[in-house]
Amino acid sequence: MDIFLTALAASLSWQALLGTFFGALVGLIFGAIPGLTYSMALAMVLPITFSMSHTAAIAMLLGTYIGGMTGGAVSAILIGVPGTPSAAATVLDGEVMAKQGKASIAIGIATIAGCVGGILSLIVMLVSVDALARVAISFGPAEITALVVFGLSTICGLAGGSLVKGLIGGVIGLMLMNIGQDPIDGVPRFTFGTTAMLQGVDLLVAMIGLFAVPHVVTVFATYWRGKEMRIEAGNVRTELPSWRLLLSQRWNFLRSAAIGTVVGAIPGTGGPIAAFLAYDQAKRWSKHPETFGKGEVSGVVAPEASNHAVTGGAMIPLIGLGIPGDPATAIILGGLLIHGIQPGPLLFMEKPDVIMSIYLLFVLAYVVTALIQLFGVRAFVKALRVPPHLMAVGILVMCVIGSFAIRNSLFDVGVMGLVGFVAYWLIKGGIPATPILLGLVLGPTLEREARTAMIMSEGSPAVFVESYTALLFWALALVILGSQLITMMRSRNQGSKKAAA
Amino acid sequence: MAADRARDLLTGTLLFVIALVWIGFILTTIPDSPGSPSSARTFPLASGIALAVLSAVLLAGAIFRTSPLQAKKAAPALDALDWRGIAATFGFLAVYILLLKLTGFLIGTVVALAAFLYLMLGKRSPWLLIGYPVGFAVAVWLILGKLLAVYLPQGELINLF
Amino acid sequence: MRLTRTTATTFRLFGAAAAAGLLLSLPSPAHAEFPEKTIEMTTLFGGPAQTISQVLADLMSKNIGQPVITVSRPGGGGAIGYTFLQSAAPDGYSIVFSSNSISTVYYQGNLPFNYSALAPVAQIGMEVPVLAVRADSGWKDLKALQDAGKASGKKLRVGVSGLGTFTHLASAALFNRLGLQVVYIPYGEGRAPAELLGGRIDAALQWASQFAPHVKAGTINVLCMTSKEKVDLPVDTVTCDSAGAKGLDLTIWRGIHAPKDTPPAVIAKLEASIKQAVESPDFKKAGDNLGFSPLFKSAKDFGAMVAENDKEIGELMTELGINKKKK
Repeated sequence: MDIFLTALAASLSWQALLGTFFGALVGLIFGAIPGLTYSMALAMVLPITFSMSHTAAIAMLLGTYIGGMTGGAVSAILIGVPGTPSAAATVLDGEVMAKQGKASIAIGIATIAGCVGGILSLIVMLVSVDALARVAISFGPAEITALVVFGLSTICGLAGGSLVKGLIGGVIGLMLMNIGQDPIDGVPRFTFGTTAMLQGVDLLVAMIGLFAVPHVVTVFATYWRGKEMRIEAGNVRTELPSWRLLLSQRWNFLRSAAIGTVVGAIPGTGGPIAAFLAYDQAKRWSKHPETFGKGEVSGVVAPEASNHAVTGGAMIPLIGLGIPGDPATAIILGGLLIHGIQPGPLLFMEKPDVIMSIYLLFVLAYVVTALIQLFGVRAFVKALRVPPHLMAVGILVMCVIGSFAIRNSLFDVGVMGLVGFVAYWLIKGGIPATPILLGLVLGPTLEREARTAMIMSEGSPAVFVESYTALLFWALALVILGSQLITMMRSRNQGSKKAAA
Repeated sequence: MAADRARDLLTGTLLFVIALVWIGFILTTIPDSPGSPSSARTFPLASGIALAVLSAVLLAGAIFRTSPLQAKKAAPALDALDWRGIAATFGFLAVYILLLKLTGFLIGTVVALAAFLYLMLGKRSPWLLIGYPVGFAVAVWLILGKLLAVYLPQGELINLF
Repeated sequence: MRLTRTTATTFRLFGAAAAAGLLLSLPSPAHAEFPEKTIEMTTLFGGPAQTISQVLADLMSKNIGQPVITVSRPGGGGAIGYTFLQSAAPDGYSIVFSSNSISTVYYQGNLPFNYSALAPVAQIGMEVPVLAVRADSGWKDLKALQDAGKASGKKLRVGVSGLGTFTHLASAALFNRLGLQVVYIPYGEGRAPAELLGGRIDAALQWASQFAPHVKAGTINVLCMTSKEKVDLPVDTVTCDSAGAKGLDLTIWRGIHAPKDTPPAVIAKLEASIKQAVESPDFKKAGDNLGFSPLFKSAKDFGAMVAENDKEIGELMTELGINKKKK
């Protein structure tokens, strides 16, 4: 109890509160701008924490991490371009809700879903950090390969009209990520012998091109056609979701948070896969799956609860074992180490007060982020009153800045434009954008893990089916693919019957 | 439905050709490592073949389609204004990248934005033409560049600040 | 890993927009002394190396009179950042946080020039990888591992950061000396402890700090370090040289390089600033916490060391059959 009170006092000191607030604010801004991510925000605030007390430093790092995760939803909802890859699934229903004039509800519920998901994941972490850390360790390259394939199987649910076109999208995503240096033995691929091309296609750069550029082209064409939809000032309501609405989502909250926590705990996977899995599951469990993609609230809650639960999940191997699962947690680890805090099993015994303050600051970061976001809703939705064609020019500028800032390279800006060009034609050709993004996100992980597994097994493919965990995910992927095929067959039969009649 | 079918025929053919070029490129430029089960070639090759097969299925579906498979409305063909949208977007990007390379963020953004508003969107109000580009560029420069220390492009010829 | 530029100065964030306005540098007289504007330190990788570069930049800012900022230019195993620097203006405002990667990436055939296309400024430290095994393997020293490996007749599975990277080369040099058959499993940095604890690999060669909490918890044993001389590390261990791998001496150097024709006076100024930063207690403390050994070498000594190290790496890669520059 003493420990708890000391930690509580430290966490509520003005330094910690200020650190959390600035961290969350910086994180929100970075998260909301496509291309700028929480990893960048963390790298940026890290030197600032060098001279702080360890509590304030942890507060600032966690605030930045969590604010960054939350910010991604804002641009996903308002302009249909995800601020971070983790928020890509939020676009599906969030953007539609904004077009229906419900942007503030969407942002509100996304914020609350994130906060609930994050805190649920912390509770899971509190009770089972040891057990889940063991689970995390049991995931080797073969198991992660199976998990990624399971993640890719959600393309089935996202493909919309045609499974073939959805799969084509996924494959094109995979192909784009093959350009550049091979991840295992550094062989250049499709570089035409140039050094610049070794950078390859960066995931964030491709994501911006994929979502933002086709959107901007369409806005301009619509404007010249004289059909631009103006949202009048009166139509932008700033109401927040009701308690009733929130309560109706309780199972969705729990399910999505559970998915996010587990996926987050597995090193090397992360937010996007958790968000898409949660979205897919929400749709499967829903009584009215046909409303998904048409402004369904559950379609915003699921990915946001899930990708925020990833933050708690990712803390499990970080705190429990000292193993960072992604670039963001690697930076947090650096920040802890600099202050002489070495996460790992011993930290629980040697410095329980530090562990306690990490937990408390984690909750604090969520509360502060949610408050900033909920107060900010009014300002965010005002952005919708800017005429779309003027907004579109601004979006283009921000896309250029965002894709430049990722690696400080103008090459990336060019790639962003090129991917956007290709994406525009693909979308015109009926290939949906979301499966392309899944391919982009999961492609590099799939290749790296599958090839590592093959090297480990010295070439025997049996490695992929040797563990129960891997078998489970293969089976789940097969079930999803199978059920999709059956549904398609049925609807085709019905279609031809109708045509015959 | 005719437009839908024509669209699938075109998409399928194009993607099939791209897949073949892709595969050919892999076979000529990426070294194989004989003896090992997976190499730098494996994944690109697998995705290339997958694209070839899938686009062939799409083509076949479009050729042999007798009954409307989906009740989805066909996308209208591109008209002149769509082309104008494409030209405007990519023209802007090309000019803007060039300006950033030569003159850095502040000058590049103000000039590119103002020119776009005047030439492409036909804006004539001096308030908008000066206020929007300058306000936007300065706001981004101050908040992102100075306050949050995001690295903004530096010009090769001239640089403000 | 994609990270962006970070400031070395703490006041920027808190200073709000008003302070930001004051930061605009005024036009300076023509013959002002170096440095008269912000110095950009290009970094090539994320993770612990980036944190060290940020600490260094922070300390340099305090003594050189202008902000030193880190700008991340990752990709191509470092090739992108080195290429950027090689073509940057040789005025001292562009420097790179370099390492042995300049040699490995060159011999891999991904960099058209080698270390001699850049001017050495100073060495700032070194990192010594250690060989770790699971505690329940029962291998208490290198000899036990060698015996077990020979007795089983199976290939040993060893985790490295990536094929052709420094940890791969060091492992290969080690296990060739031990006469063991090895499969090298490449995965990103930081996953070594997880893979080791999960039982999927038999040994891993990585930075000591990653293993420190597990060594304390008694789940991982560290057998030896790859340097010839014993250095202070977060985990105490012997040198591989003394434990049976005679003559093994491979450490990663970290330093600062500038473009080729940077004026000597400017390099001297940077060198002095780096010396002061590296030898400060703050840097020592950060190094201890991150498992990094600060070590200052002057431009001349550093240059000689890099040249010698480059030759060794080239020979090692030829031996392993992954030297693409070998005619």
